[in-house]
Amino acid sequence: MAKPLVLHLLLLLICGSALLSSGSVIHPISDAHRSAATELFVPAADGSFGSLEETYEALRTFQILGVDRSSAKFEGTCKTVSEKLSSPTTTKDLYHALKITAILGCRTESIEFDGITSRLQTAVKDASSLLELYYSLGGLLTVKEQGKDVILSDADGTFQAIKALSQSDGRWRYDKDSTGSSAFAAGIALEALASVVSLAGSDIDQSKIAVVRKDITKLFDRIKRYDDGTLYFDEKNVDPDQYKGPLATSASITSGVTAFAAVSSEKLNIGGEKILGLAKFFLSIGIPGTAKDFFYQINSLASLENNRISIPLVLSLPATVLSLTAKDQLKVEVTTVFGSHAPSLAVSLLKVLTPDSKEVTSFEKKELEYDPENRIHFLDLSPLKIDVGKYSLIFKVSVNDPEGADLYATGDQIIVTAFLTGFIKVDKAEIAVSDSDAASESVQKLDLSKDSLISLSANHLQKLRLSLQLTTPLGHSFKPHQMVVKLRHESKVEHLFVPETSSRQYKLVLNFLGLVEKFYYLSGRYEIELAVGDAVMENSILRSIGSIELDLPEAPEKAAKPPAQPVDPLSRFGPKEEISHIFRAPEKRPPQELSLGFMGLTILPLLAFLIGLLRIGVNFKGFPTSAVPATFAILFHGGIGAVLLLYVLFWLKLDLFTTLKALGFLGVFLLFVGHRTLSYLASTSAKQKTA
Amino acid sequence: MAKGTNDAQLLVQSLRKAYAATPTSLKIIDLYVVYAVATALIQVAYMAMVGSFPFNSFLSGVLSCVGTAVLAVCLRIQVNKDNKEFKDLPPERAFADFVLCNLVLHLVIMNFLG
Repeated sequence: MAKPLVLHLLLLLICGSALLSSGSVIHPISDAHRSAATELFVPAADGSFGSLEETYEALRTFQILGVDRSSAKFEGTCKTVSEKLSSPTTTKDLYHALKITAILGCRTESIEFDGITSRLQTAVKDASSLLELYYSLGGLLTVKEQGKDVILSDADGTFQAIKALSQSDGRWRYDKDSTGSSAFAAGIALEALASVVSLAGSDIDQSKIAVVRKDITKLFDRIKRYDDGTLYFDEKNVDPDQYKGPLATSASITSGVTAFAAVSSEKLNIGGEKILGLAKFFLSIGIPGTAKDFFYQINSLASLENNRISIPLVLSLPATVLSLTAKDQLKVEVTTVFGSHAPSLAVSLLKVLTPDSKEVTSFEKKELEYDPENRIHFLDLSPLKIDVGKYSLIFKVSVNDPEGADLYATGDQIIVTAFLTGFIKVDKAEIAVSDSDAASESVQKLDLSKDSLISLSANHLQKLRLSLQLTTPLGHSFKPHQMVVKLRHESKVEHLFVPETSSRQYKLVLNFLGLVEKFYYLSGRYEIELAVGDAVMENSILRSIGSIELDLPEAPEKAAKPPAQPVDPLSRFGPKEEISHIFRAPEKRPPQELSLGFMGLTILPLLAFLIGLLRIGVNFKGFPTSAVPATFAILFHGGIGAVLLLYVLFWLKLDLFTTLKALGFLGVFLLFVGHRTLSYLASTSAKQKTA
Repeated sequence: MAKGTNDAQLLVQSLRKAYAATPTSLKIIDLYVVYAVATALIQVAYMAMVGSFPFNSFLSGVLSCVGTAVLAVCLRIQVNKDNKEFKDLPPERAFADFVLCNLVLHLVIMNFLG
């Protein structure tokens, strides 16, 4: 049991941090959502978005957002759906198919509603689980909304069946046998109960409805909250495969509760603050990334937009960075979650807080003026005399009509972070070189608005002083986030210094005597660069002021070497040094004529041999005369000649393996032929001897 | 001194006469041996002149001549009728051995020639 718990906590942490990171900036649903929807829900060629459930979710989202659904693709969807309705399918598919038919406004003449109604009624009677009841009741309600006559036979019994699955803590079980209960199931159950009440009309006992109201109150006790008033539902003790996540759970409960509130004659005892909190939760997601999340968000916000408990109104700022120089006005929009206009309201700015939560005392509560053309409440900032900086603005919204105050949820205090930026003046900028005893100073005024550069010179016994003042548009002294002075040597060695602040001034004093070691004893020209920056400073400074020629003493032997400057990382892809190869000098060969001469000389002994043979008196008398031995003899000599020719070829171009192969064949042939010839010769010589 | 030269001349003449009595086949083999050795000497002289750069070629050439000369000498021994040791060996068999060994020698030589 510990393992699933750890998993939940981890998931919770991840979801929580993901939700937290989206911040407290909320905007109502806008065109950005519409275009994101068309990008996210992309229909296939036949007009479906995947399964029937996914198609329903896509089409419902399009319906709520007002995205065009009349394209020809959806004709095909109507056909597929009506086929589904005529064939035997699960109640879940029937439910989704009926919903799709209603959304697309498909032609209903071909659909057999009586058959479908009877199928759903049987499903209601035989249903064993919460989901079965939900889908069948939802299907019947959709059929009724199409204008057909639908009767729910045992409304009380069905109501009781659903109620029987509830738990004491406001959650619901999925069916009689399962032990775990979940808040997601509670949402489904409430919606199913609302369907029963709508179908039954006045047949349901009001006391039963009152009991369910109490269950809803208990369920809302489990709501979780963030610091900025956002509320949501999440589950802890659920099986991992039953865990749906905060978005799905909150969406399910929102749909269920708003559906039930619509059919309950008495108002539910949930404060408008809770509704507003849930609305903020759904809006704070921004634009969801998956189709399922998108559907949950949009569907829940649609239920909240027109619910009977109270309609949430959202305050948003189109721009949170306001420039004093441009005399920007503080503009505020109050709309419903879908951006539709709210009733007549009064928006007032109660307090302005600095980042350390202190109140700006010079500010008094002001009501914003209303511009009916753009439906925006605005306030001029210049007469307020607020200085540059980051502020938390605290608003309060109240509906003008006292009766309507109950109908709308506006929240108590709404906190928004805004930046006021302005032009920071640089005064009394001076740079001076003085001797160590501060006797004489050569001061130069710096004018940072012009591009001029100053040049100074100093030796190691002197000091450098740089001072300036920063003033806000309202005349107060300004402390920027960043102020750095950089001294860069010709060899690119850099040193950074931060000026100190005192009363109204920023001052940097560099005593070169103490800095000689830090500068690695490098003399020469140092460029001085000044950087002043802040989030609310419209004219941040990053520029070179000038240069200073520093004369430092020689480095002693043991001094630290300046750090190696980074080599341009791309230089290793440039051309490299050229390598000069040293080839082995070729061996000295003799002149060709000499070699050829000696080749001729080698032939000479062969000639001498042949001449000598003639002289001795060589004859061919022993050569066999009769046909068969003669052939063999010729073949024998031919074979030897062929082998010698093979050797010549081997030297010229063949390799050893081919040669050996050929030699094998020739050798076998030669052996056979030679044996025949020589045995014939041997027999003839033996005959001669005996004869 | 005249006696010395006379003696040398007489020696050469008697050698000539004796040699003339040898069978023709042996003379052919002797001539072959002389031819092979002469070729080897010419190759050595060439190497002495130009240096032994492709040493394997030089060795291959010289050894082919020397090898074939050696094989020819073996053939002569085996074919000589006066040689009691090889009385029962038919000369055709000796000749077949000579041809076979020469072929193998020349295969190796050609491989080593490079």
